[in-house]
Amino acid sequence: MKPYRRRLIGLPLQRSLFSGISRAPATIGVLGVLPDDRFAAWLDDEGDLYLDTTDVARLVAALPARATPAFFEDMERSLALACDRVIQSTERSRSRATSADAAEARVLLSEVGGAVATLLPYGILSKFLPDALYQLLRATGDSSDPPFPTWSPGSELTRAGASLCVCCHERGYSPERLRTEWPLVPPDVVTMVEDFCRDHTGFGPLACEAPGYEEPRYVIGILAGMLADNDPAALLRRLGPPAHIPRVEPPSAVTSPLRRLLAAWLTFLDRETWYVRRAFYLALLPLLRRLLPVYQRTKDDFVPEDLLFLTLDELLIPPGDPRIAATRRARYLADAEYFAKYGITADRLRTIMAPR
Amino acid sequence: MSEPSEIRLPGRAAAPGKASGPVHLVNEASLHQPVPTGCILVTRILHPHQAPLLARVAGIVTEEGSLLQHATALAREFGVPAVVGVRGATAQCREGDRIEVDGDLGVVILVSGR
Repeated sequence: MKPYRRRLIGLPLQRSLFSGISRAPATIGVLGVLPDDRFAAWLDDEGDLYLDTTDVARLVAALPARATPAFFEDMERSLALACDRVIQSTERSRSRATSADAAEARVLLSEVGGAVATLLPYGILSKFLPDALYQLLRATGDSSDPPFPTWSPGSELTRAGASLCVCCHERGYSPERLRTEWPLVPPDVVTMVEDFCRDHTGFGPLACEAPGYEEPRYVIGILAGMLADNDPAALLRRLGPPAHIPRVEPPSAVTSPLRRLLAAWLTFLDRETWYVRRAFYLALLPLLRRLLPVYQRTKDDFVPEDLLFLTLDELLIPPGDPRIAATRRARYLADAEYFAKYGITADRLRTIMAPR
Repeated sequence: MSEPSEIRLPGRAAAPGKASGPVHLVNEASLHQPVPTGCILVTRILHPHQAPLLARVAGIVTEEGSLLQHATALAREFGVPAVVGVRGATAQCREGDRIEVDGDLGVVILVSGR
């Protein structure tokens, strides 16, 4: 079988959170269709994602027989709960990580890691389920546009970026000047950029260690690409308000929950990576830093980034053989294709694991 | 210089309207290159974090095929014509090639031999 996505996830810690993606059928309450109610979806040791399209087709084919308002409402509710659980556990870990001892750090790690692992089957389902639901919607006679989000996270991000540019411009800093002089810029400019990064942590590639909006240089690069020689105020004027997208009233009681569910999936599509990355930077990394002394007591040359090469289960029990992390790290660092794909530099892991 | 020739690349109409301009190829490792005003952004897939790059583009072409993907939602919000599911688009197009996007019919016309 060919990979569905090559070199998707490189870090063993993040890969281990994908261990439950085969449970996706049960996640949406479609039972009795596939053997053991599991479909063939997995990440291999190279970080390649495999997805059996035959299983996908069987799952999709089973949907029409289950198309009731209660089914759609249950799915919408479970999706919302899974998203909310990631947000809540991320915030809890974020607020407690700095004072947590190793034991509490493990409890929080289990909580947030479990929440992300529960969410990830939805991420796999999002590759085909919205299309299947849209077909069901069309079959009910609803021929209106899909319920895309207006002011989607992507367009809000763009407006926020343009606003940041306007503020920096007022202080004499174009994106190009920021790119040249960062971080040697006035403190108020540093604060504005860093606040933007904190507020938008979570946007970026699915491979969590690849640079994203948590990183000032990444944001400045995006702003430079977005603006070049343009006036940010003019750009802001162009960006709003959004294009008019007509809203239609659902034609029937059956269509209404289906349309609402599809809207929830389309909103989730824009946030699925954001949930995972935000949990990684605001919860998992601070908790790993609390565990580091435990590992360094058992192995003198255990470096902080080695923690990213342990699985969630390995981190939740007392340290076994810490040399396994170094072995995995060496293999990871040899994957030039992966580094090129995401623009990851050699010092990236050390940077993200550095004390904050 | 060779004679200009046209290659029609079929896809799915994702956001209405027509646009033409030079190709600008984007992937995760090239996000920080300045986006030329009025270009047609050509990419394998468009993610929400890449949305700011759309601020100055005239059209969008993606290889990944779903009508319900990020590119469609973003293109509609930005009022930019888009065609999705254009197989081999990133391999067929070179940076700066002239390209036309028909977001009503779901067709891309690549004018090569610049």
